[in-house]
Amino acid sequence: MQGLSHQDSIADAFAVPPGPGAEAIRRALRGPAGRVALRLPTPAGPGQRRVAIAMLEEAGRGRGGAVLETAAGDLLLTESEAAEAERVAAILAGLLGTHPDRYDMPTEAAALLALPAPAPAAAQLVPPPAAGIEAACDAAPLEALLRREGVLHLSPGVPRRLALLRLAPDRAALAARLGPAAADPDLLRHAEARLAARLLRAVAEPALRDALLGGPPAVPLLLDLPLALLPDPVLAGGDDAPAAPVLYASLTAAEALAERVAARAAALRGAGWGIAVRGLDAAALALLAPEALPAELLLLRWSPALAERPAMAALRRIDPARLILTRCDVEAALEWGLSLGVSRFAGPWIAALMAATRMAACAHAAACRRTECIARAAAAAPAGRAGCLSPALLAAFSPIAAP
Amino acid sequence: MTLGELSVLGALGPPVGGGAAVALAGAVREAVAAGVERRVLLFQPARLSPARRRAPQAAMLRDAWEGLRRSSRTRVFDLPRGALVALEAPPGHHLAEARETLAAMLDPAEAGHAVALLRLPEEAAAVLAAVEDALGLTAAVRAAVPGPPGRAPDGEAIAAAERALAAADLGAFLRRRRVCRLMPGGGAPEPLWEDLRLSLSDVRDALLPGRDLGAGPALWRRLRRTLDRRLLAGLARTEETRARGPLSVALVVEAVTAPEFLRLDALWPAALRGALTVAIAPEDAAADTEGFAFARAFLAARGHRLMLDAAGPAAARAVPASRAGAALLRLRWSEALPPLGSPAAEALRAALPAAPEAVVLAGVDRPAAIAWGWEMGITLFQGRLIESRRPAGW
Repeated sequence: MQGLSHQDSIADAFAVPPGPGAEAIRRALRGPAGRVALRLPTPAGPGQRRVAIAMLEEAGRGRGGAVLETAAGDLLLTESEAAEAERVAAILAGLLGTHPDRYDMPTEAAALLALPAPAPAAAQLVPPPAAGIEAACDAAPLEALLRREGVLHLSPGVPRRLALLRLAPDRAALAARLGPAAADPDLLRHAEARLAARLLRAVAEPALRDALLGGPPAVPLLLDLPLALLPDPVLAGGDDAPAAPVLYASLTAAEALAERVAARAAALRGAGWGIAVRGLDAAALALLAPEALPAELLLLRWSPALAERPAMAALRRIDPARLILTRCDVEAALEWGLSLGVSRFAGPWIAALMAATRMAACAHAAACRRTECIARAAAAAPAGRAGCLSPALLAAFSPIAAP
Repeated sequence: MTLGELSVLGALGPPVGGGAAVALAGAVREAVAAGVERRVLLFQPARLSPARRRAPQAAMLRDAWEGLRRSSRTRVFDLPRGALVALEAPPGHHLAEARETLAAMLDPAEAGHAVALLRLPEEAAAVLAAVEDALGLTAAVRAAVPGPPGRAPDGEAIAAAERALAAADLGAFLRRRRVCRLMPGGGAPEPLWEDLRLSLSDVRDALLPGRDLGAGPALWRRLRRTLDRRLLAGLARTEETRARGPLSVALVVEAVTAPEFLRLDALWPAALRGALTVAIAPEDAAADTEGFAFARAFLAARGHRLMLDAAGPAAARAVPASRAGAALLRLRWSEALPPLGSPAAEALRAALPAAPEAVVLAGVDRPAAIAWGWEMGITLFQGRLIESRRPAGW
């Protein structure tokens, strides 16, 4: 290709398909030397994608370069002054973590022409409509949108036992019911709040509650609730209050930042309520001072990044008795948690452990597979538990023996 | 995975269901499943009159129960809130005797309410209900059962507001405030930049009259995303940017990567790079840590400033500006701020950025606010009181 001295002959050397994308590439082939084209994988997040397009457009503005998107999921800037391309490529590398590929134009044009179906990149932002979100959320039966999860107390030298029973929204099931609206984080959160209100009404009726849980719960419940659904402490107070919470409301970290949550938590304690904060992953622990959160329980979301420095620095200031390690999917999660002094665990690995323990104690286990036992224990719908011949054992998550 | 492979569990001891309530519920279910006959004695001191629950009387009642613990023929379960349950296989007589002893110390009505001798498997439901009652779950949940939605906004109302917004003039909702430097004994406030925001209460009154937005915070936030984009579209008009000076604007996280902000960024005058400040609420940062981190990196790469916009001291303490990577923090003046000299004030001070002129106290409507700010080391203020001070040069 170096042997071709005239740009037009380069363009003529390739069969360029029709269309505005190909037309922009054809234009880029005709300009002088010293120009650069940039290519990078389209970022996954819609915001990141728009920023990448805007940055590329800025780099191309001086020369009339176009920003295209290929069928293979790449963004392409057809031409830019070399210095401007370098500047913007450095910004994009800093923002996205990957450095765009750089092509000298027109000498490296062959690489551009080989890209599949380039078309102008659109950066519109049209959120899914809000109307009808309530109907979509309410159409599904409550039990189909929930899943049960056991929180296991595990500590060296102490018998393992069920510590808490979590009845949480099944976000995948809810998103499937909502369709495109689930892509809007605020609409999804609204739907979850609505689901939580339905759940509270059901849990207040022992018959409905026992149908969801498979039987009367013998350990405190943990429910994901929006702040707006916490009871009014004035109504909730009573002289007959339980000594320890029987119900933990698990808030998002964002909602726990609201003023007066600490005062409400103290007042609610007398009504048998405890406050938990959920979803604390490594990124949240790098941002938040968890010791300032007004919650008795902090639900950590396991990932190997929890063991890194920013998260550990935050966790060292927390009494491990307040921590629950969720989403444990490998034994390493448990080892890390135990080394930190955590004694309450949940997640797929814990669900498998409890299923194995149940099956070892179950008279009917010979006919069952572990995966079936795990799935039945997670079901909030009676139909999802069908086939189990030891429903009491299933409902209790763990075998029951005398204290 | 088999249990034998779980090396980490080796030291954890045998699996035992814990808690008396769990064990009792299990024992009841087993008796029912096996059709085994059992007697159950329930004693619920929480149902006694307050006088009986006081020390001397309560101790006598508990003594009447203690014999059951010593018998090898009965199993005793201590439930929360002092409830006691004992199980006995027939033809035992300990439970009947204990019932008589307890009843003799109580009024007949009281005894009927607080002491019950039941039979399994026939009366399993009553026993389980007593376990449930001891746990207090139903009572706790009933305190929170949500009423009808009433004035909460719904998706339909938000969609209508979004349509109305497309044609509305935002000018009526726009509030401009000067952020001023005000030093102790330093004379008139010195304006540093203009803060632009939408009056959300005015927006609500115009677009969602009578709706309680606190009852639908997620939908309200969705509308704020639309509002922010409209506000930014207005700011990004060429004639607006030409007359522009240093500016701060409060946005939701998503607005920083919205097309309207990218246009404003592209048009922002080179001479004013570093003079555009985006204020983001800590709640927003915590709700979407990834989106916030990207917005922060993008603003930094483009030479704009990030300000953490804390509604109150709880948010400012739980999301320290230094950890959030924000050079600036804005705190809203209110009675919720801790009194000077209190431990809470010192804890708040520790969470404030230490650099000079890194904290703005907003909503300043009385001299006490400025006095509080000065004592906390704050020298930047905005609010009605600052506006009325007629700063020189504006």
